Amino acid sequence: MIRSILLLLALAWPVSANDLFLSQLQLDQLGTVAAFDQGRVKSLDSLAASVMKRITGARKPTGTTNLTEMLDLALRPEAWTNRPTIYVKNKLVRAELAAAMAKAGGPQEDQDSLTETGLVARRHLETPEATATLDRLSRDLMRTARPVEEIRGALSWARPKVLRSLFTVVAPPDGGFESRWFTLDELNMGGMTAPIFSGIDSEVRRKSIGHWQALTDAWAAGDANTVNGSAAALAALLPQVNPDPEIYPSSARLSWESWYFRNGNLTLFWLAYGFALAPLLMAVVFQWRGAMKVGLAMFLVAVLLHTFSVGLRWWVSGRWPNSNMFEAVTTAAWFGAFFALAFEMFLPRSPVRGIVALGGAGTGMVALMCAHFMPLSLDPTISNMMPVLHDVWLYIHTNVIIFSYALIFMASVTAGIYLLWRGSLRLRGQSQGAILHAGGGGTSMMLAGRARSLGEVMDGATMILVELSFILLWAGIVMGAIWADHSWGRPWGWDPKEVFALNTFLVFAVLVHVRWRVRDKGLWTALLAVTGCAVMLFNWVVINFTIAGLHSYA
Amino acid sequence: MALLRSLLNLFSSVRLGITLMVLIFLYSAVGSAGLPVHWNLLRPDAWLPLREAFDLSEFRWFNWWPFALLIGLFCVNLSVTTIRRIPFNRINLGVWMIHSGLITLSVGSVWYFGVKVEGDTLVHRRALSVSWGGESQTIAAVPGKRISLRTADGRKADVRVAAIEPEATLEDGTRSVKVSLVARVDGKDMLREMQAGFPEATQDFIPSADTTGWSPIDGVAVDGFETTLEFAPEPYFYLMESRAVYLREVQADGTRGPWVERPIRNLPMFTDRLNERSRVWPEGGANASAQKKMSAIGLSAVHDNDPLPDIRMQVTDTLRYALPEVRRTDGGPAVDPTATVELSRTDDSDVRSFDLRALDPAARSALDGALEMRWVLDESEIDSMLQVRSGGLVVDGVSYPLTPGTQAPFGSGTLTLQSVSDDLVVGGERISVAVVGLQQGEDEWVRWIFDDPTLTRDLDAQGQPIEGGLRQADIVTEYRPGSESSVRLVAGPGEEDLRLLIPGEDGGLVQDVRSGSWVDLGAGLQLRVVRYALRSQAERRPLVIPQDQRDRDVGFLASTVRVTCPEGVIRRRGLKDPWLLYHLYAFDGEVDLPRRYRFEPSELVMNDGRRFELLYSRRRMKMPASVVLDDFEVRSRIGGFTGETSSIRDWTSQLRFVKAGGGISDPYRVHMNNPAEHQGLWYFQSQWDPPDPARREDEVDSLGLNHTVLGVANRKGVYVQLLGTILTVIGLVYAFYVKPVIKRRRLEAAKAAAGGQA
Repeated sequence: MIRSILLLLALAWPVSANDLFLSQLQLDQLGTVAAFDQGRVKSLDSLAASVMKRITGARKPTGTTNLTEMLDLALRPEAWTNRPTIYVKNKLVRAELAAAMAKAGGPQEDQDSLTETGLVARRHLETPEATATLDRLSRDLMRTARPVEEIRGALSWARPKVLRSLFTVVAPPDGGFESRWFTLDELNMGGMTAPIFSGIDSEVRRKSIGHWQALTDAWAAGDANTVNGSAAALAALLPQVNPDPEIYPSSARLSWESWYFRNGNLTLFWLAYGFALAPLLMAVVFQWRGAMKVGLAMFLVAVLLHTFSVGLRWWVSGRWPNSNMFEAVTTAAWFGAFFALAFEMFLPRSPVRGIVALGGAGTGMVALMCAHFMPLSLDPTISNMMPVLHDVWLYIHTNVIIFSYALIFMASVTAGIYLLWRGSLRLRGQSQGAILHAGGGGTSMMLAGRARSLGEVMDGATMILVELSFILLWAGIVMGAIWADHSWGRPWGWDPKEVFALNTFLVFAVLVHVRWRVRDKGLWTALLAVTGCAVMLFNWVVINFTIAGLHSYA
Repeated sequence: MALLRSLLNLFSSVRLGITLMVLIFLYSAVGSAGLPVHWNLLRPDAWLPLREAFDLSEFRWFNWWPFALLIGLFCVNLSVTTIRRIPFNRINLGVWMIHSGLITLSVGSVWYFGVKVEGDTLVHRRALSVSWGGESQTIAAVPGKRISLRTADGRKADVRVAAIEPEATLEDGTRSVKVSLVARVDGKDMLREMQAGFPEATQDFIPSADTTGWSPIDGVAVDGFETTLEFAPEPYFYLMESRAVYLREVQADGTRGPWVERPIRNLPMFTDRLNERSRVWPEGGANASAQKKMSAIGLSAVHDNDPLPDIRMQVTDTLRYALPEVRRTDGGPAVDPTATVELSRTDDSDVRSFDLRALDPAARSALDGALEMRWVLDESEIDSMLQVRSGGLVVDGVSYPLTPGTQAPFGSGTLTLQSVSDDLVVGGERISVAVVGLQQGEDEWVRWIFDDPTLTRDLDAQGQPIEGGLRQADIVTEYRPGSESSVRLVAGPGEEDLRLLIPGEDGGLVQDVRSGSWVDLGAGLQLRVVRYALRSQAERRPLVIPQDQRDRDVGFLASTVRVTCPEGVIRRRGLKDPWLLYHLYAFDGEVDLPRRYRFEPSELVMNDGRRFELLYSRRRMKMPASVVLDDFEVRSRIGGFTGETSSIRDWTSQLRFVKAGGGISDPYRVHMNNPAEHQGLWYFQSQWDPPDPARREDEVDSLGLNHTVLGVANRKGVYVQLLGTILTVIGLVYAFYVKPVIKRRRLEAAKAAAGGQA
């Protein structure tokens, strides 16, 4: 563990003259120019983030920005010959490649680096031993073919020629919406005579070519000042190629998009939820009024920050963010947190005061932590929606479902606290009393306006969340069926994701009926609420990542 | 009576309801995800696909009797419990609505799934009809497709679709697909451009005076040569999860009757079932997913027009993942020496194995020719092989290396060494040849340079011999086969003779070889022959793909079944028990085959001489009206189509239907999330024809959009299902949010009344 941390630190620490050059670069302005990427125009920073993620797995071998590393790989590849660059995610493949590296006489520290961080230098992947190992592993389609494909993909992406072909930052000079964008290299090759670029103002064209040439030459020579000057000049020139707002996004949108990606997609806001969680927990458990006020205030701040990040992504992407795993997780958590905030604001005297906020804070924190610490699984890249998703039901069905999932997670938080409370009573030999006190539905308790113990409060809060999620989940499944009926030709296809959404509903149906039958309602409710959450998470994690189905894009 | 009461009590039990829900949960979970067999559930191999082990698709698993039984019991339980135990009043209205909603949903689902038909159909955008000299033929308008017409008096017309512009427009901006075809009609070359729906826009071209291009002409280039672009009506759609064998007769003149379907019922589709393990590679079916046999499935004639109504064929074996492969097996009448040779370093345990075949130039050598197998007719050849011969290719006095693929300039052009084949036995003589591609300016041709210069010949770019033998006789070429450093395994002339030869300046080395014994080659190398057969034969069998190399993304395209006929019916031609490869659609043949689709029917020749073709595909169903594809559009995002799906916004098929009394319907526009209904069937946009660059020299590029694939399905019972689900939603809201309020009010009213009385 310590060795891993040291290795990660070593990777991030600028130690050589090459890294000194990189640390002197100022590419903030260049990062805000528009770049074309498969049917979407995004900021260059955003493009660099998605490209480098494919190569380095969201790690930063030089500790600088994605754009800096992308340009350095493209313009100064020799500096990367020995630098661990290619990310190997699969641990079995890492072990096999480390063995191949040992056989080829690779340094022990590079083997350790590969094993611990997953990063490996290109030269170690191009030895006959590594090539033979990758060939062998690629034949195991079940276990290792895909990781090998990703490594080969990363090797291909990391080639300077490929990287340079991705700098499609020259807007179509003829102004057509469906006309293609060009790279700076293409503009450079076309020079001042190519008719295809004749639509560009000759001064803009001449200067753009000159500054790109200067930038590439200075980069190769390690001249940071010239690079910075040329980059700033290009950032000012490129928007002038075709300033049509239909073609070239506004500078505000591009700047915010760059800022959003440079700041880790704002997933660090999980800390805000974390700060709210502690006082809320103390307020609920110990009934401290001061802690309640502080906790709710901090929760309000956390929800506002989360709302800002969701809203910013919505504005930048031009669509409501619920079209990939990253967006589904962060937006679902936002739904839950927003519901909790509204609940606490509009029902200030409820017997479950602070508990729904506690569930919302827990949900928001876990969701944003997942997005923050697992960028490969929850890919933050903003990409276009698949054509099949262009339908009003995407907004209705998906949002209702993910809202219900957020409520299910919140219910599991309150159910978890209930189980802890029961455990503590059991240790004190008082569990018999708890059985008698728990009971009643969520709405009934809200109407009664009182609760006699922490357990009853937690049980009531769990039921409030379970009842609402139960209805929303069923309604969401029905809405999905209506959409599927006119999209795929059948309302129900027994797709794994559909089946496990139904199974989640079944768990809560069992909960409702078990609660009606058993004496120890609180315990069974909590256990089944946690089980329902586990099935929901299974649907989101295992079904999405391991078992393919029709919903594989969501 | 007591039994009935017991049953009623049982089905009034909430415990039974909970038990049934848990069982439905488990059944669904196991059928959908599988059984976990590893603690790390995110590992792809952590899930054992139990459903596939039963050979059931998702659809079939959830239509299987155990699930139907569980749902049936659950509905009975719901009904009995609701009627007996839940009084119908204002308080319980929500529960009644939920339970009746679920029963309504179940009834609707029984109806829906009971009559569900679902499949897809591929519809070409246009068909091209060509008629000339009293002959006519129609093909799908697909780039690269060809037609040859031959008149009764021997005249010939060769037509090829050179290009299709799917999004062309007329001068007034009207969209109309443009088809360009090149033809040689009775020796005259021509090019014709046609606009679909606008025959008046047809334009003919003839070769320009300098033969470098085409010149437009007024009128037609060849009188009587008529071409039209028509709709291509498709009458069938192919059913999901179904299988059928199609049969048709091939007439003596080569014309073929229509495909007639014979359904394969209950075919295991997910696991391999082998009755004869000697019929696959590797021998014994070691890679098969299940060591199971299957009961032969009869293929009886079910249609009146079946060409062999009395012949009952059978499906005896099925493989989920297999590829046809030709391998050599020992035995047979023909001399065709083969050997398996192992080579290793004397100080290393790593052994490399090579299969060599002496009479096949492509398989006789390994290690870039360093290891070879030869067959000799008499002993004198052994002496000749021991001599070191200096080989070479000489063009216009310049020597070139004998490495296939070598590209080098010569004179005013360039040459490419395509292949070298030495010591071919032709008519009892040995000849050697180097095949060289030559290019000078625009001219390209191929020269076969033999070691006997009198045999050297030129071929044009299409592989046709050039009149007079050589295109440019002034290009002087010479080829001498070499034999410098090869280790040769020599079979013959005796049946048992097998020797190892190493040519050398000092007379070389000859050594008898015994199977299994290592022979020291010097330089730290050793060799042994592990198998040798003088006679061998080619055999085509499916190669069963190993379990860990099975790519689920290929769907069923790698599946195959073996079909057998009754004894004594088949006369000849090797396909007595043919393995049939899976086809997505039963195309008529090359005439309607889209690019990259498979069409490999198997042939049967009967004892009475009649010939038939067999094809393995899905069952098909006739649509109420044939569908035609009027137009196909792609909407791109900003920057246009880049080759990636993410750059596409939508695909639209503009369909029309052929009316029963003739004529054609108004257009229906089908795109993503926007299906069209026609006579009870719904049509969905499913797949498209993407741009497809040429992959071989004889292909042309395709800009795509030449066909569409539509999902086709019915949807009876959907509104009953919808009613059930809506009832359930309303019931849930009532039960959770209205019922407690009513109860609370009643409680408060009761308290108030009690307080008043007090």
